Amino acid sequence: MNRVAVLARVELVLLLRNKTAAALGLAMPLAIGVGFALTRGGGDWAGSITMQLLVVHGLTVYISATTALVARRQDLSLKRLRGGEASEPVILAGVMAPMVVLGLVQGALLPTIAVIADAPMPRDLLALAAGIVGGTVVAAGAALATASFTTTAETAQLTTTPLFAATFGGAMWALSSPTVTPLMLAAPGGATAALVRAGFEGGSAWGPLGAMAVWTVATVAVGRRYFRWDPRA
Amino acid sequence: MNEPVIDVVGLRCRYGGFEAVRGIDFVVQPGELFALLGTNGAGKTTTMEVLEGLRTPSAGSVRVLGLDPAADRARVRPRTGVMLQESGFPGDLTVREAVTLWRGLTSRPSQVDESLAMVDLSHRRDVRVKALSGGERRRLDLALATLGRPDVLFLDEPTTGLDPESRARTWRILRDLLAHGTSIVLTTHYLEEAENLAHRIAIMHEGRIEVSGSLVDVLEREASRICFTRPDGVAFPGLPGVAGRIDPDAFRKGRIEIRTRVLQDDLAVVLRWASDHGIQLGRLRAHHASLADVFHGVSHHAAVAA
Ligand SMILES: Nc1ncnc2c1ncn2[C@@H]1O[C@H](COP(=O)(O)OP(=O)(O)O)[C@@H](O)[C@H]1O
Ligand SMILES: [Mg+2]
Repeated sequence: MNRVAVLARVELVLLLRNKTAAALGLAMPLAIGVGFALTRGGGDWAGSITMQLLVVHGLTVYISATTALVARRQDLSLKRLRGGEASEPVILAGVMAPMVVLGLVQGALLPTIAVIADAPMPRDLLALAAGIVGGTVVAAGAALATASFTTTAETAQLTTTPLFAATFGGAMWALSSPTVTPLMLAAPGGATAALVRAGFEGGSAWGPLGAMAVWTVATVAVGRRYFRWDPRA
Repeated sequence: MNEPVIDVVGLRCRYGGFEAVRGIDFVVQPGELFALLGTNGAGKTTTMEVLEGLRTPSAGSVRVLGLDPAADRARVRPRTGVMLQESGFPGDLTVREAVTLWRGLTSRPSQVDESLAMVDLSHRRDVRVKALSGGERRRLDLALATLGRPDVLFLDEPTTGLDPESRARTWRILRDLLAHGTSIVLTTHYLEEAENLAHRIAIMHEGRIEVSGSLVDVLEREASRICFTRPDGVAFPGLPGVAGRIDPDAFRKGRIEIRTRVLQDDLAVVLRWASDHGIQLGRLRAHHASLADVFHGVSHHAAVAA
């Protein structure tokens, strides 16, 4: 675990040195999130907070972690790291850790801001927390899977777009219906929406959590099968 | 007899339909430097990556320190150092940060200052990795490969791109490691590097080991040479009666080239013949085969056979 921290620290230093990456991972999700909170006062808070979380999980975690993994493969540091003592899961966890931690922090911060800006206190805090944590884990798994099929940091912007966009569609679909169906939970973003709604309006958290577990297992399985450590295919 | 530190049996590796390594065997003994030579594409890097546990062979078995470098990774890695033919670092890290990172991932690391001093990079410690020259980057690679005081060191072209002074420094570092008992597997395109450092060598060509053994054994394979310019007015049948073979192609081009297993005797024959005929031999050279001769012999014979 110590080695994950060593790698994470370096990755954080790099994130802060790279202005674009820092803006994408730090400032933008917060700005967009605060924007949602300001424009959607009084109305549908579950919807508004879902959108905030999707932005955080999408930008801070999914897109940033995909980009980081691909950039480390491209600059041949993944290959070097694999020749050292750290195991493969440790290396991957270390590279993604700053994005995951930032995602959790931002994910906790945005609903707090919303509550301060007049949202009601969540009825089921645990369900909301499950949505924040679960969405972050799924986003990290998806980053691993997407990085397996992305060759350059530039094309990461492109390869991450479909899933990123789909989470908003899936969430709106789930939010638009009075009862969520299994298909809605399975859709990207659907489980996060269901957990946020369970947090504010009540409802079972097990269905969406199950869906997130399936997403995580599936994306990690894809990563295990297809992730490449060497840019030379 | 000691257990070999590396034992390779029937190793084969394929990339899709292309077989890059086609059944090779070798062992490396403790404390020995084993040099893997061969033209580009011979399969050296592929072989090294299997030894390093980074690549799965398609057939054969590989043991490093008696263990499987991929399956027993956790037990092998703390005792091996790896310098890949090509590897990198995030360019925005400084040299010192790169070494500090590697220390954090290594069980029994040397000090940062000590290892930078060893490769003469102390004055570059606060420079970003992307600003280093190719040779400086190679020296940083060596510092990292040796940071964990490995028992076995894998070096894939460690001196490619180095100036002569840096190369000499690298050689000194490697001799020092050998003196402390480290076993080294090295690939190189510089034959004098192998001649200077290697206890045993193997020459690969198109995925196979064509020649291997101690330096002396390998040099013995190839005949010695006697060369001089063709004296005026001498016909082929009039040449000295040596035991070795006189190359007719070279004769037509104005040179006499004799390949012989009995260098001293044949040289005496040539000198007596020259003095009997009152001939001054121009550009006379007599020498044992060099590693370069053996090397070119391997690629040439293989090309002719193919
Ligand atoms: N990742 C790869 N995919 C396909 N072919 C490869 C790959 N790596 C190496 N090769 C091929 O395998 C052969 C051996 O390569 P390599 O082991 O790098 O040789 P060397 O290090 O002796 O120059 C070459 O023909 C090379 O083109
Ligand atoms: Mg090579």
